Amino acid sequence: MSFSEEPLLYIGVNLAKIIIVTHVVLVVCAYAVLAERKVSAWMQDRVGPNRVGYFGLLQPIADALKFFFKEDIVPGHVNKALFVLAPAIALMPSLIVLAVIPIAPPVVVMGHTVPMVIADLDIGILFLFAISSLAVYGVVLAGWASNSKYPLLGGVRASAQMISYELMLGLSVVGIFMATGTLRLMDIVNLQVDGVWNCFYHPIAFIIFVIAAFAETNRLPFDLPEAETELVAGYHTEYGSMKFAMFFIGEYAAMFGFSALVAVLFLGGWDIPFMSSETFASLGNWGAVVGFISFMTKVLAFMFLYIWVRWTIPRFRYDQLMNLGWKVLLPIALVNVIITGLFNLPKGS
Amino acid sequence: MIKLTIDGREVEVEPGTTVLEAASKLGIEVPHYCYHPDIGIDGNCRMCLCEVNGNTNKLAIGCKFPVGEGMDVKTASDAVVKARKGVLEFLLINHPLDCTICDQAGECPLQDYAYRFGPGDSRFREPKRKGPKTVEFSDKVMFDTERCILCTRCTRYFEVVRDSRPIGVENMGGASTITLGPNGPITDPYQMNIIDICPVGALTSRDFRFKQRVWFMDFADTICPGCERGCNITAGAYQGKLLRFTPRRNPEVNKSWMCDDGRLSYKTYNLDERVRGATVAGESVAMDDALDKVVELVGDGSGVAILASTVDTCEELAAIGEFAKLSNIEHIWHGEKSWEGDDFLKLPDATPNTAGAKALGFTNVPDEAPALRGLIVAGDVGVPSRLLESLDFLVLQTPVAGALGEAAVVVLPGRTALEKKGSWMNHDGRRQAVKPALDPGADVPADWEIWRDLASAEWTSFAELLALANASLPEVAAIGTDEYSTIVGPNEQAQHLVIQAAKS
Amino acid sequence: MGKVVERKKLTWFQELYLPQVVQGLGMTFKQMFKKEITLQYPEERQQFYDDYRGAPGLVKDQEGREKCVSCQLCEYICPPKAIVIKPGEIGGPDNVAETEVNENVEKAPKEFFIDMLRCIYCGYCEEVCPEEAIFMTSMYELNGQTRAELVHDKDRLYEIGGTRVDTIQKWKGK
Repeated sequence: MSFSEEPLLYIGVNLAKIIIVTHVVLVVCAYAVLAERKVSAWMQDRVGPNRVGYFGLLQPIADALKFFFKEDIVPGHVNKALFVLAPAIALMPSLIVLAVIPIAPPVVVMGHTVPMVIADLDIGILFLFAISSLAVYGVVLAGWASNSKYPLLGGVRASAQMISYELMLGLSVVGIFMATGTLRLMDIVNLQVDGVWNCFYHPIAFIIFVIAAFAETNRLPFDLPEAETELVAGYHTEYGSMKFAMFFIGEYAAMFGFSALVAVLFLGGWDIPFMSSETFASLGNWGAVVGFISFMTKVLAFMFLYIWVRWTIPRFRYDQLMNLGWKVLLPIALVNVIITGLFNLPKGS
Repeated sequence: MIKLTIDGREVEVEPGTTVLEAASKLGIEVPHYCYHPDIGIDGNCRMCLCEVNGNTNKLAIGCKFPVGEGMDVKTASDAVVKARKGVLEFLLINHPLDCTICDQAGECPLQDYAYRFGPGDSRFREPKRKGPKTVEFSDKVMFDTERCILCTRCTRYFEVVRDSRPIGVENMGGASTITLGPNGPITDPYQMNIIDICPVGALTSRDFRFKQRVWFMDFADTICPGCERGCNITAGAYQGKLLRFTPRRNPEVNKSWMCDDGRLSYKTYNLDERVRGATVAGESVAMDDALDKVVELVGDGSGVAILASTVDTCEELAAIGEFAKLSNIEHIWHGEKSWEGDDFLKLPDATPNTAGAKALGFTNVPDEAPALRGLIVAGDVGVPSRLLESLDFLVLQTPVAGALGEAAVVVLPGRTALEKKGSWMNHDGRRQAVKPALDPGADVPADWEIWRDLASAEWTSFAELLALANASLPEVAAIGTDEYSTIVGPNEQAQHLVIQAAKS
Repeated sequence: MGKVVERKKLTWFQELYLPQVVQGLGMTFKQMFKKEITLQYPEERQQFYDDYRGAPGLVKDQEGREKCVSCQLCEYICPPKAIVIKPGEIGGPDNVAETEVNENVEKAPKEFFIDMLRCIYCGYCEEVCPEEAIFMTSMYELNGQTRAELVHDKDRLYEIGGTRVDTIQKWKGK
């Protein structure tokens, strides 16, 4: 199916995918906040939110309403244009990234095979890194525009941290490209569905990628840009109301994005162990449903890991963060690339 | 003169002096209850036991034992300390643990001595003596049978000082109690003095009863403004309100006594409404504007008179005199106020400083008053109505304006007798220090400040004014300017109660 | 000179760091399934020990008589000066006592104020009270819409304190 053959259907299907993905992500983000609070509560022998709805399930809605009804304050000392722009920049890349993530096996709609990815780009992974690294602008601009010391310190830390770890992130997946020979995420998933998950092929790359993902999303133990014990609230100190909420959603959307990426790159995407692509195909559209559930399970499990780690490991010191990045992870990642290259020599020749 | 040694220190005293008096001359405290310098010796409380010439078998009572040549007295030897402990244990056998509700607590010699010399515990486990706790001796004095330690200071006060016997000791031994005589409630106008001399809380003032604990109150040593006797008093106030007057011992003036009328007169100095800030023709104005108006009204001073209150201090009167001189005002008169005097302390002139006013050149208002253009009234004083006829203007400087306030062109604030600082001269020509017990606030400046600003005088500080007053009062010993709080007059400042002096 | 404590040398396994992380993760995961200790506040209340120092209150004895004799020692001892008492005479001109006039008890508070905005819950008032009339209760929920509401008067203090049944009855049989 292409735009030139059936434009209306093409637009309709893509719109539907966009709407579904966006909503799924935003709902997951909202409930990830609840999950964060619940899990942290359990880990600390507490109960967590339980007043709004059964089990606190309506808490995200209450939170959202609260954010909407709060007065939208723009302090007098800020750079207004950048101050308003920053939350949007922080949120949008996290959502755009999801465009290239394949979420399920293809489905058949009116006799057409529709791939379950919004944009099946040949250079999907490059696009993804390009866009996701834009998110740092949101943080840096917020720090700068706030015109206040704590946000500025947060912004400076964020830029240094995210640029450093972007490197490890990129290097860790180089090995996968060398092994698979493609940058298209759909192909990478398909290869894993019929073969072995990449996390078994590239265990070191997997670990480095996960660590770098924590740093990229500013999550503990790498949440130095926020670091409430040191910087009040870091880059979003001056933010309130819905603008603060956008940073918040942005953080959780980024978590979702990186979880999805880990699932796609290392955990076989929608694959279920011992099921081949033929098995999925034989199930028809139900195969897509099963695949989507499988994919979401992996994403959510990984998001749980995010939360779990946050309430386990204390924050790194700034010099420890830089040491870990440049002196430990970078050499390991480079060595990993070389070793992968050696393993793949026969394939290339 | 007799030389003796007390606690290793030598002292020389007149023959006939008691050991207690000799010790107090050295500043050595001998605790006592029944002895009082203005009532005399009884020797029943046994608290003042001293060791004389090493005789520990039979200790002597310091209040009655006369000194002898070469005597060696010990007031704190082991035997004395032990004996005091025993005496206090006996005194406390029947004394109830009433301190929580007792008005005497905080200024109670029994409490103080029990802490300082007492055993700290009692071996007496039997029930204490019971008795009525609220016996009305009169409408001014309440008696508590249980608290009484039977020192008989109160009965001896009436016998020695007042030559009457409205109360006495009834029954014997453990059943002894102070009781009213057959003539019913005490009517003596000096009866409340027994409250002060009572060393415990057995006699309490029904006026001050349960009003406030003494340790929350502020005290000022000052002079009773009631009459020209000038009894030395201590004024007790709580949060800007006077609660009581008590006499302060001055053997030269009032001994340890004061009249009930003077004692209860504190109520008149708690003003609910008073003049605050200056007014001209009923309009509130700044103080400087009001003073300018007064100067303008006085003009060249002809036909103007000043009528000053004799509650004003000598210093204030001197300042008024200075103003009169600078403004060419020739008539300076003082007010008059009288009540019924008696043969003890109370004098007919009911103001404290008439002698001071006369010494500073103030005269009585003449019966045939000259025709006046204007009258300046200074202080709280009754203005004879004949002065008010045909006046162009009336200036009032007073704490309470009253009915005259409407007639006055200018009304200036003034301080009451208990808010003044300065000195009063009593009927003997004895100049005594007056200290403020209350602070009326910034919008009631001291009277002398008003007169200073009116006169545009050369002197500015209180010390300079004091020098001015001292110059106009040559017959009284000059008052030092540096330590104003300690001056009294020709004689040394007398102690309050001897007991209280002993405490500090 | 202080004692220099040698830092313990890590083994190569500990140097890896990741095993420790995994150990920590296991620890928190295990913790998730323990019973929570949170109290559901408005429905569930904490049980306090007797010596818990909550809001001070005045108590009456088992015969409903006020124990306070307004000796004002608590007013004196109170470090933040939160207590103000106006003493009064039972059966006197103000006739302050609501309870039966006992000729052995002459004094009772006419007014008794504790400014809970000043109170620091030190418990000195309870300790100093010679009549055992003021107690630190376990009441800890103090709120009001005005400052005046948090100045507890005599009625409120008796409401907080209630009746205290104890063996000491000082005035009994007197």
